[in-house]
Amino acid sequence: MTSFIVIAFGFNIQAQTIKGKVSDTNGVTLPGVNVIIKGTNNGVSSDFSGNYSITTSSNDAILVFSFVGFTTQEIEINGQLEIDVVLSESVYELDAVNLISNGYERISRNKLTGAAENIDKSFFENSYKTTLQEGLQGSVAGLQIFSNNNHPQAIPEVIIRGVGSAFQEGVGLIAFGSPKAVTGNPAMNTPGSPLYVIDGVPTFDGRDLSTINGNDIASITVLKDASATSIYGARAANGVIVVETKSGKSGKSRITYSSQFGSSEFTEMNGRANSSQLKELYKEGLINANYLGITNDAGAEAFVNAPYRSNGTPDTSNKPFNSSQNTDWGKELTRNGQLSQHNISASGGKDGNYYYMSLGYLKNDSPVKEIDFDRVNFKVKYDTKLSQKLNVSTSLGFSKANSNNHEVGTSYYNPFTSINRIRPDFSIYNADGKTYNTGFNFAVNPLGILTDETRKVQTNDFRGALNLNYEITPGLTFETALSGDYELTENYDNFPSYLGKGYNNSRKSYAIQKNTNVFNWNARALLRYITQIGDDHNLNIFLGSEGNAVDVRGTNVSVENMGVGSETLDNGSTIDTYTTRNESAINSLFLNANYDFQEKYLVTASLRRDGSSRFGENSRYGNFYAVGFGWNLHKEDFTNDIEAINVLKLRTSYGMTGNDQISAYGYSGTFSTTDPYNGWSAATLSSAGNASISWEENVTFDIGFDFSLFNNRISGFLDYYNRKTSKLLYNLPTSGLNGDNYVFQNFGGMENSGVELSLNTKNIISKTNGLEWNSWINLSSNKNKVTELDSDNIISQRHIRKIGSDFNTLILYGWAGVDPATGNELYFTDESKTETTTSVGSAKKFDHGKTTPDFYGSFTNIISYRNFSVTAQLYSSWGGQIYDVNGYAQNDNGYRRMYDYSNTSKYVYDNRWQKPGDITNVPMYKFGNSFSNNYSSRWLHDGSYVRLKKLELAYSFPNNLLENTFISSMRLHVSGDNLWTYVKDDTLTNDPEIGGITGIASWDTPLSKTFYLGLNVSF
Amino acid sequence: MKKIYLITLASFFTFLSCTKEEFLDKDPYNLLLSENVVTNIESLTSATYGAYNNFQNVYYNNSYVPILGDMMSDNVNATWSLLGNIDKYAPTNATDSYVKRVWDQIGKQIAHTSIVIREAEALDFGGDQTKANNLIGQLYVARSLAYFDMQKLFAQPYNFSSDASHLGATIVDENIIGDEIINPARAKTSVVYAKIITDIQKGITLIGDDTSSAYLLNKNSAKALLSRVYLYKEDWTNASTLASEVINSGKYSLVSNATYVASWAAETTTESIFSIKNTETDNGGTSAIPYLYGRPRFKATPDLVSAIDADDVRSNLIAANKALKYPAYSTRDNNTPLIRLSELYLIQAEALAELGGASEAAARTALNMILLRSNPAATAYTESGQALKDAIQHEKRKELMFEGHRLFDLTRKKKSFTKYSTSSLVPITVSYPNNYTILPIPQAEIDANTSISQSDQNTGY
Repeated sequence: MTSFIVIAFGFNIQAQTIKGKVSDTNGVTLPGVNVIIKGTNNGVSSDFSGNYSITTSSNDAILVFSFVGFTTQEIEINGQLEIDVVLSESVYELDAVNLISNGYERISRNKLTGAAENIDKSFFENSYKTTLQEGLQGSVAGLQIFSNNNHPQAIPEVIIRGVGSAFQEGVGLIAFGSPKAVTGNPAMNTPGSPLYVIDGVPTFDGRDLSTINGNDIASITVLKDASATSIYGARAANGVIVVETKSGKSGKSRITYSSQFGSSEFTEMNGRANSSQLKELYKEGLINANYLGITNDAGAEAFVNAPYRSNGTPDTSNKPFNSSQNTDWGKELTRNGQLSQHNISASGGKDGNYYYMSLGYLKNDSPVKEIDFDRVNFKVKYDTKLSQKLNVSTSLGFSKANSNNHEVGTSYYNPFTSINRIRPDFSIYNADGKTYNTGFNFAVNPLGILTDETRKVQTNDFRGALNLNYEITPGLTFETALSGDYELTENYDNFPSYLGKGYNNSRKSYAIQKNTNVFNWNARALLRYITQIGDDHNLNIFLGSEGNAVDVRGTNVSVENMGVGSETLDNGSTIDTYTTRNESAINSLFLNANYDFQEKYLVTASLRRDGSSRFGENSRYGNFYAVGFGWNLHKEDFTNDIEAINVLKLRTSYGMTGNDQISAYGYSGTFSTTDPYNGWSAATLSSAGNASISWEENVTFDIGFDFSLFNNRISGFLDYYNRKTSKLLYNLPTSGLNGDNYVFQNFGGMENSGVELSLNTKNIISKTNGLEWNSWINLSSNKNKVTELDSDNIISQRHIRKIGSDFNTLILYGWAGVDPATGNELYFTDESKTETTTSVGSAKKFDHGKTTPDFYGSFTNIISYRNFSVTAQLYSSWGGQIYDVNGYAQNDNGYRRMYDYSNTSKYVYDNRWQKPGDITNVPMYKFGNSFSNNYSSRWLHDGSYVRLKKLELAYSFPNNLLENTFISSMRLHVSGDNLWTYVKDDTLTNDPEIGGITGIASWDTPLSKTFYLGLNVSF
Repeated sequence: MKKIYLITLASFFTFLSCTKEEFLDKDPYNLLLSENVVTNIESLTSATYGAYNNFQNVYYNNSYVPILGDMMSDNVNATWSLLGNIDKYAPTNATDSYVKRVWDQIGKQIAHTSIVIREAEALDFGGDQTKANNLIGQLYVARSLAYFDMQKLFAQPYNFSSDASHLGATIVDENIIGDEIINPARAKTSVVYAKIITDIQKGITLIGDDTSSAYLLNKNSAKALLSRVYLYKEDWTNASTLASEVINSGKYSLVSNATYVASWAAETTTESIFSIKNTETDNGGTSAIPYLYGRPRFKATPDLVSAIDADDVRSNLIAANKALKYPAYSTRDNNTPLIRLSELYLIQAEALAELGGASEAAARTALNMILLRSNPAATAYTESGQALKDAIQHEKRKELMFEGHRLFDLTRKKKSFTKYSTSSLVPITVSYPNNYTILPIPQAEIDANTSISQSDQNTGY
């Protein structure tokens, strides 16, 4: 019967076999590419040589070629029997077949029930970023990054889906203002930081991520909801970022070289008064204050030129004004920054043996004089098949980074604090023109401390992994993964005796050497079973156990009187030595299952039990879980007819994850043994304990759609989530009778809910390498609120935590501007804003709203024509506020008289009240005035901004040009980062990112604009 | 095939068993977890010495506590607004950070000693039990001293209310402190004194009588401190008895007139009963007492200067602008005497004078020991009754100036006095009783401690 039909209709429906080869744009053949006949289940994979062969009975069938990391391509057969296909690596593709790796398994996008996204390669490959995190801003919805200090070594703050925790080890106490203020260390964690998992090694320390060479990375996956993160259980509450480095691919050996070089420029937004402006202010201030009876310009001029006291003797605290000198301190500290990066890698392999090796070098001479950074990265990875059943993967990486830093924070040892204070009529050098003038500002000559003081950091990082994969029977594998990271950091500070810190140390030079080593290792064993029951049921289960331990050891030696120019500690006399050590560990059991029916209905579930050494014996273990459901609507019959729908998936998940990030031993009281009594060893109570402290719990609900419509012209994700954190880990003030001011407690709760949208539109497409235009938008809106406090509102400095309000809500005095009649400051007496007072003392602080933005997101466009392409990426954060904690000092109205550090801003000069009737927001300049209050809304700014993060013009050399050369591909590009920023509030004199998560901005190196040329070549 | 399954499963579960409980037991390296602070006699020794470190802190005996006792009295005025409103006798802001640090440091000593006592008492030291008892005894006395300091600074004197029912120090739950967060309430003054006395008495039964180091507590120093407590409680008989016991122990003798001034630069003297050792590495920098009295941030009031005769050696301890009892201005490592023989003569004198009648003669003898040692040319006291009592306080003021006693002697004697405020030396009359002769309970403590409400704040704050 069958043969009859075949014969009868043979002519029309005769099966034909189409053959061909799949390769990438570099001519490297691609094995394992999925080739299916569109609209059917008929599919094959390409073999190791990239060859495929597929049979179809239809002449006008469409072949769909899809492969991880490459753009899916559809080709109409049109009677052809041999079709070779070149797949291009996907850029920004929200590809339906994308594999998402959570570090335990790879799941194809269409089987995923959780919210997880891969970051596109363009955010970390072939671009110039000193720290990886900086480049990831705007990459995916829900990921928020603040580059709040542009120091080359500074680690941006990263949070996923809002602030979900109050405390994070390494930061100290967020309750007490900006985390930066706690240690002054530019490299640190942020509160509620996500867990990073780098080739299997988990860490909360953003520095670990920053030592990785972006060009070695194969994928960065952001796991956002419980279904995606719960496999990380106790540490997953604030999201997980999984980083996997490159492995060799099958095919001929491929060598690629890339390089970028360019320059950077200091975007200084804040201006200071110059010499003549300041002199004018001094004189005006003297007259306004009627200081020592000065009423006119002549009197003021005389005083300014030779300040005197009421008894006629010279007033030595106010130095005579030197009108002939005008030093622009800001300019003196800066230069044109130089950037360069070189990267070479080789990869290839066949028959189960693959290798990847790379060498990278990055150098950043920042726009601040003397401040630089360089890093060398080296990496090898080798995958091999020891037998048919046993695969082994090994990798080893090394990086060495050196940086020269300056002091950060509000201390005047930070040159960027001092330049805003020092009088412009002081010269940098003494009369000899060589030695630094140290006769002012406590001998802190900002250029002098930049050049003559040393703050060096060297980091050596070794990272390795050994993974075994044994196939017991088809479908059942036993896997072990052993990975570790060993990091040695050496800090060396040297302060000469004649200026800055040494001068203020009783004129004695001193040096500090601090060595820290961190060993972080992780071991995992798991059994995995993948099976198909009948044609319709797919099941994938794994069960395993895992241990992770971190050991941190430090040695600190300080010496003084080392002798002039000494770069070592050798000749100094020891003033202090100490060692520190702390260890923490987690052990876990986990079970995970994914089930689907015809890839239509998806169910995933995971269960994990973690024990953490950070908690006491009775509260050490926690159970975490998640369930997720997915429905691939596009596979249903009822959507088959809707041509507009290519992909439509509904997914939802619910689960609980945890957070254990209190400090190591945080559950226990501790006694310190470092301080002897009368030379006898002594143990002194150093912190109080709370044996019952346990996990912070985070319960997340997520519902989302994945869609791809109109021939994939519009695709994207839409998610709504709600995450409730309870039993917050909070270092709360306690009765002093506990022996400590603060003890960790499970306290209160908060909630983050929000909407995320990712959208890719193919505005103009071309089949002929003509004009193409693609757009990507991601938008995130997160609303945070405190839902539970066991006591009254918590006020810590400028933040108030109260039920119903954002965690980062400010409480301030209400600034009411300047009285036009008198030029005095006015404050609202209370939140009704009906009455004003000139005295803060008789005003009440009130709620001034949140610092958290209403939304943030990015908008990227790529327009390409033939071999040219232009990429423009805008990033915006909108609706948040920034409190400038240094505003009061930067905009002094005469409080500092004619002291060494009495300069003020140009804004004050331009806008000050001068005569009755002046409408302005800057009060009268008055000699001996008091500082404007530093807890008032005068220093509160709208933090909304839009920034052109990236603008790139690229040219790819056409294949026919390279055909007869040994070069297989070549690309040139010109890029500019941060070239343009629109700041909504023009009174904000700092970069809007400087406020960080808490919205409290301090004086720091502002962001720089960079401009560079890049080259990529493959052989 | 079965074999492979078994091997795999076996290795899998071997791996599981590796990551068991011990894996999570992490001990810090240069820290001891509370549960491990006392494991043997050596660790108990360290933990006991740690209690002395608590005393040695600048917010405790190495600076602020002794300074407050003089600065809040008529002895000393600040030249600098370091202690702001406290000095001005204006209502001190309960949020004052120095007040909080003093409270916290005393609280830390109570916590430290309570944890170590509990852990030590739970352990059997075998052959070292006697040594252990000596150490536990020291901890009991140290804790009493901390309760006593908190009571003196943050509560009105014992005789403020007729039955000592006014609010005093807080008393901690010794069973859970260190493991769980505690919220101790303020106890009645009578209860606090009972606790202090019971603890010192317990300490006296346990402690050894080795007096070789004045830097450690022993039976004599415990008795000396207890005699002071009895004096404050107006238990004259016990105060006098204990003072006599220590005086007659033969272990101490008064420093001579010739060496008196120089003795203040010495580590210890023949009259040192208990001093806190302070080394150059321990020093509290610009918060240390030698710095604050030498800089000077605090100096003798004109009133105190005029109280000391020019030919009295003690007048040499006051230089223009400086108080010289802590002369190591640059190294800032003077030891702080917490109790010395001179005070015991004065305690004895006061107790006997209060007992009156036949005891007065002995009281005068003790008093004159102190006066004539410093000024052999002076006329010996011959007063009796109230005049004698006043003379004792006058002499005590001079002898113990800058050691932090004056304020408490004034208040428990219900005396009004003249306080000189910051540099301007504007006299403020402080009449008894006064809300501001005691410190406020720090606002942070009231906010954090669920057992102390705003209504438990000291009156006037």
